[in-house]
Amino acid sequence: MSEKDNIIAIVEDDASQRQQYAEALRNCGYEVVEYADRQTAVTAFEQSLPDLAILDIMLGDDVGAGFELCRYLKEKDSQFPIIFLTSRGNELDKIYGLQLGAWDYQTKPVSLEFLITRIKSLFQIKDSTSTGKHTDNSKHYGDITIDDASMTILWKGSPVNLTPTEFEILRAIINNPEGVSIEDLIRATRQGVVEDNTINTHILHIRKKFKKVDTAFACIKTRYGFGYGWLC
Amino acid sequence: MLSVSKKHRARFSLNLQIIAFSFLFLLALPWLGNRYMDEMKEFLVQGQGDAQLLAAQAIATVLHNRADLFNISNAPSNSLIEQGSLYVYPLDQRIVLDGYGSDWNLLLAQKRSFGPESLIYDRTAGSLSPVTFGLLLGEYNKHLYGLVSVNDSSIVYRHPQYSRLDSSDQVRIELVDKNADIKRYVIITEAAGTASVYEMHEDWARPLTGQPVFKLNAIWRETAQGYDVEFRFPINWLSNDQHLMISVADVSSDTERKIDTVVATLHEDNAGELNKLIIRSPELDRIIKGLGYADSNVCIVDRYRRVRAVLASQEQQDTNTQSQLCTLTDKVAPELVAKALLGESSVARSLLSSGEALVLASHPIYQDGEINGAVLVEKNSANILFKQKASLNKIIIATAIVVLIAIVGLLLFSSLLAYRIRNLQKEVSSAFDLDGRLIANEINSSSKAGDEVGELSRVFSTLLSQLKSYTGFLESVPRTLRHEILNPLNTISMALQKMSADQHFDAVLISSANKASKQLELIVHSLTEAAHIDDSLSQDEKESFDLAELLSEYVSNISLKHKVHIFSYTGQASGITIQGSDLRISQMLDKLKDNAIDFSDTGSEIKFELSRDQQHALISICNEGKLIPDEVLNNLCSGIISHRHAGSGEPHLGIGLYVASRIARYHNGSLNIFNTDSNKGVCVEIELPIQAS
Repeated sequence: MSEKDNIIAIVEDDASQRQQYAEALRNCGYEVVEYADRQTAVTAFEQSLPDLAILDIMLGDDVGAGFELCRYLKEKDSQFPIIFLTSRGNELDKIYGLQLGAWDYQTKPVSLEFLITRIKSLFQIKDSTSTGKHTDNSKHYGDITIDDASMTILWKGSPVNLTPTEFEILRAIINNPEGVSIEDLIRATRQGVVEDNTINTHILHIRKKFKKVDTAFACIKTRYGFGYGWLC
Repeated sequence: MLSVSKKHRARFSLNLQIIAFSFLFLLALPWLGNRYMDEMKEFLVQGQGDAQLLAAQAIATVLHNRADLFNISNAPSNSLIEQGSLYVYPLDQRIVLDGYGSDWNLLLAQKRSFGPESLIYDRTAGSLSPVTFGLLLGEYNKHLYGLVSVNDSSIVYRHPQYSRLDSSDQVRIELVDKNADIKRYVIITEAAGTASVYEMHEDWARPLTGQPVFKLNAIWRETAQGYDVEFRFPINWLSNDQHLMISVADVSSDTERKIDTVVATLHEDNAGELNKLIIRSPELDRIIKGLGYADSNVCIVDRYRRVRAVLASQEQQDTNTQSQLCTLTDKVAPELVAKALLGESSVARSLLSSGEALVLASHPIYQDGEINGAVLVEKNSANILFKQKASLNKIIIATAIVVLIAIVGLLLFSSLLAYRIRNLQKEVSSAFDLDGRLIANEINSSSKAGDEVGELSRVFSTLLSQLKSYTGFLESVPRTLRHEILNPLNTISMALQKMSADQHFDAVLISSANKASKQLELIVHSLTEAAHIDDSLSQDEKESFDLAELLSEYVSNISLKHKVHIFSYTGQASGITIQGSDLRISQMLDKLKDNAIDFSDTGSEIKFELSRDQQHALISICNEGKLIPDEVLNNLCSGIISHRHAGSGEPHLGIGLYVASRIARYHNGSLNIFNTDSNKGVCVEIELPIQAS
């Protein structure tokens, strides 16, 4: 499936930013549709759904518009890939956004280069899960099974549903048995400017998701003053 | 909770104030009551006086023109005769005929004396001074009693050798009997003791029959001055006119045995006449008794101030004390009697030693326009006083109860008020957290009350909600700022990214522009982090973890990361469990570590220490380098403004310290920053409670 077939919707009220994203994505060969507010976006989505949506949370005076759109899209397609791209960077918003099922949550300012990389990998994940092309690339590290292509994780045989960012963090930790520093994790997840706590928040989410499957899970070890390590 | 600065000020609580004022004002009530009682008493006594005067007038009206009752002859009055009347006192008890006058009691003072002025016979023609004697007459149970006290230096008793009866000292009684005949009796004796009584001839020398008269009893007793004779005879011997004369015949020589002098009860000018007896009129007594002034003493005197009728009040009859009104009339109110006899009615009052007032009213009695006598009505105010005392007691008790109830009521009220004010104070205080930040926008206590406290509460609510909206605005500033700054920053950033891909632009310029935009980003992130730290903390789940393990690992890890500085850790490697979020403690350590690095000299040592006591773990992080001015030490953690110039060239807003102190606070601990004793650097101390094992 070529990139040209993928339609990306950008819902962003700031015209100059929207145009820059659109231009950068179009340069990469994606078809981009732009919406400045929730209503026009919803009207268009009623006609046809794009393949991926980049949402700003605040659209003009509509404070929670991005969240509403996310909920709307998730109702239509629970596997719909959504990237929040917003200036609202506090943790509560982030947690809320991820709870709504967004695949990623990026805070402004964002690196265009990184954004494009993220979008590419998300499409890859989407393709691999939706087309069912399941080449078994899974690797086993003790009790955990990681499939890079489909971004799926199995813990003791049970699937753990991680967002792509969380998946990447976990993979980075597992790939470095000595432990990985916060800085490395930030780089690995291609986060823009991120406080250490963003990573901490992701780790908390990952631990929670594992604990849902296995309450005794304690493999992600905090290396205080450094980062995280995998200890299993 | 906002701590209210407590100056050392004498506490004078609402309750105390109310008690003080209550005592000041309420205690005036009994005093007022007392004043009122006094006025009332005065008024009552006054009223009693008026009532008594009316009573006196009423009695007098009944007695007007009743000369018959006064038993004063209708003939042109002979004042001398009238004055020569002998007054017969009513006796309240039987007189024991023993010659002793003690049972005459108070009447002894009323004894009337006779002497030379009523000398009716003198054999010695003035060469011997005649005897004098005192006389008291009384009536009891239809008998007339008499006490004759004779002053006689030489008593000559009767001698059996002398058959004539006028040969010894003797007391003679002349009276007019029912048949208008004059009877003469003589009392003589041969020795002290029971005396003999004979009815005599006109010449007083021989008895009529020679038989003693037994119905007239007499006792003779010698006294220091002479002798006393007590006698008694039935009062019905007397005619209605009641004429009687007593005379004392003196024999001075027991050899000669001749009567020397005779002193009678009638003035010598009226020789040949008899005294008129004035006995209380039973008729008068009946009349005034019938008038029914049972609660007063009533006394009726005639124009010669002689008491003619007495009515003792029931009270006095009960206590068996014969009214002293009449016996004391002249003493109690001589002026009053005098006034009444001059035709003037009046009221007098005299204070008795018992504190009671004796109220006396007098009114004249007329006989054909002339004053015939006076009515005296006496009443003791004891009754009033008693009533006054009773009401005073009642008032005192009632006042005490009212005062008590009032005080208790006021106390309850003031307690309630104080309670409400305290509640209000508590709620207002707790509307702010320890850092003075608003955490409530409404005051509920007393908010529905219509009084001033309620008003105060509502004003507070209004103030708080205004403050809340203002604080809300301030708190939203970082968020707004973030949104407003990050969007253009994003645009700039993207533009720079595009430009950097284009060879036409100067890479150095773009790089410095990139750096500046990163700095801006950092600032905004820091601000947002600080603004949301409390909200974020409240989302965290607390769990137990080993602080010592965390700290030792932390220090060893950052030693690897930061090669420029030397990090050292002193303290146990494990075994101090605290409750909280390890990531937050780590975040706090990051902030403090960054801070220490920023302000320490390159290559210097940054010391981490962990110590503990029973309840607390103490982390201290010390670095050598720039000191903090004393005046800003205290508010370092509360502001977002740095007071030092960081060496790193990074923007330094002091946000790190703020976030660190919030995290310490979230763990129920405290953060303290100070310059070291040696003044070589700065230490941060964090005290955290250890979880009880």
